[in-house]
Amino acid sequence: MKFQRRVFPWLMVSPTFLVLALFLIYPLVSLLLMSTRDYGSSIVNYTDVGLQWYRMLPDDPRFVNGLWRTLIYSGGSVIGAMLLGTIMAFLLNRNYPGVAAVRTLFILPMISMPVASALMWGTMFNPNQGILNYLLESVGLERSLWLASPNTALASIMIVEIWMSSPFVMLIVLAGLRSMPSEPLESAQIDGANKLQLFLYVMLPMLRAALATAALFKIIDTLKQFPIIWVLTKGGPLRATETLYVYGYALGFQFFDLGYGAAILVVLLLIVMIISVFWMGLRQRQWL
Amino acid sequence: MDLRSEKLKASRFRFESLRIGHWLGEIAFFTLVLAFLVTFMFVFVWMVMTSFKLPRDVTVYPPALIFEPTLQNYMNVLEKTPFFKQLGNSAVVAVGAVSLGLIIGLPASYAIARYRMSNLALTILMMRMIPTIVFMLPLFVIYQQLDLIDTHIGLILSHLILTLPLIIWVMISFFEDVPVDIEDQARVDGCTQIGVFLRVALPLSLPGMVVTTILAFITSWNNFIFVLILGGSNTTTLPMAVFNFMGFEMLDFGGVAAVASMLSLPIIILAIIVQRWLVEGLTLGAVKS
Repeated sequence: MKFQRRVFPWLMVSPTFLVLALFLIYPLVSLLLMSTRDYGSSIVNYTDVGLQWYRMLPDDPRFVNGLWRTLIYSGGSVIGAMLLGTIMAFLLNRNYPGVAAVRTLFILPMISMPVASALMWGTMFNPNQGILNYLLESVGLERSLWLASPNTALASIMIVEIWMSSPFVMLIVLAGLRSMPSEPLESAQIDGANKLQLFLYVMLPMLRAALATAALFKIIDTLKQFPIIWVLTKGGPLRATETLYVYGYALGFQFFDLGYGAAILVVLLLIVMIISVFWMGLRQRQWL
Repeated sequence: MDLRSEKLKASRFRFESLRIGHWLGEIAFFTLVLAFLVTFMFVFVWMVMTSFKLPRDVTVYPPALIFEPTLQNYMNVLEKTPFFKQLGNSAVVAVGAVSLGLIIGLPASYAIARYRMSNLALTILMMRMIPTIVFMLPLFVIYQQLDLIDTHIGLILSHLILTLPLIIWVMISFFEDVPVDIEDQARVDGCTQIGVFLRVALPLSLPGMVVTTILAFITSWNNFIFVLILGGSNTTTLPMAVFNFMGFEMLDFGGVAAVASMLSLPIIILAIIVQRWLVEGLTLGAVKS
């Protein structure tokens, strides 16, 4: 019985260990090794080049561009999604007829197929026939080139990202609002706090865990964004939307420069790891 | 006397203005709800509308709001593309990856919940955090050497990267909700550890399993990068098919919209079924509802 009790949990997790070994540990180790090799034209004949690729990184304008684009894309999208998602949560945090239906509708952007949604946005962005330019014109604004111009392409894709990401923030903030004790709110009201003060000094501090969780998940998810960028612009025009993910993909699977591509992806991996470790640290200190 | 009626008047005035303020607030609130609904749902409405438009109505500018509806786009997609084969591919991959994920993930999730194996849980979470492209380069190389490119089994195995962390993390919170007392009672009655898991914990967390299954299914169903890199003509799943469709018929907006509509519908129906539990599911148990 004692033996059984000790062995049992490990028996239960052993298949998962196998999957982790094959699909987490192996790829990570393999990627690190690949990033120290020059593959030339074949995946079996390679020469070891040590850390050469990493030394090249700072001098590669495409890498520097990719790093900036990644940071702008993630930062801007997360800020936008946090704002809109939080507003959405407050719009759902009371009872009125149809509130459940509204919530379901709000969730749709995050669960619909990204490739399909991106395609639809692509037709809407069309500078000549797209509905968005028509809407701009009908309110008296100038037409935009949207995805066709390097100045507006990244911002256009960020609009799609915010549209897709806000529901996630909404769900987490809404859960935070629901689990909020009502006593602090009531006592603040009795003390004469107005609505703005209530929001700023009572609700926001109580929501910090929910907001931090939402932000960190969304930062990581936006760093991973690929389908909508690939469908809409493939990193163009003039590399305006080429994030590290897209650059790594292009290097690895279009130019088959596996070694250098791997080095780029190690950098992306490091960024994600730093953010994840930060998040786990907050969680372990019970701050979240 | 005078003073009192003055006070009364003043308070009534305040009451009135509060009520007007209240109604203005209500109007502003619901206007905002409506504005968000219109903005966020517009893409879907536009998608469905475009899918019923004839080519001449699709390209007309200013965009047509009133038009003669047609099923031609749907017919085109069904006739000209191997839609049902791709639907089958998507179903095989998603069902395979979810089933395998459940078989492997449920026992692990139960063990993590009962024996507090939090380090293992965090390691599994890494799988969810790491950008998928990081896995793709090494997997692509090994898949080539093992001849797994463009095979269903290869795609199913790779989709475990998506389904397994989701299944394990969502199920942890459901297993934690199973009362330990009931499990202990079963043990007193002579159940083995595995018996407790199979006959007590699993049946009691059935609702959680349904939610988890649906969420894992959506995740696998929607995925693009795995099939883009590890797939091929035999295993083209729907996201890939949509992507290819755009490449060949860039100007066929109606066709694109028809495909997109057909793909979104099943997911929307599933979402409505599980909407009560979506928070736990979509946040990997980071937030409990």
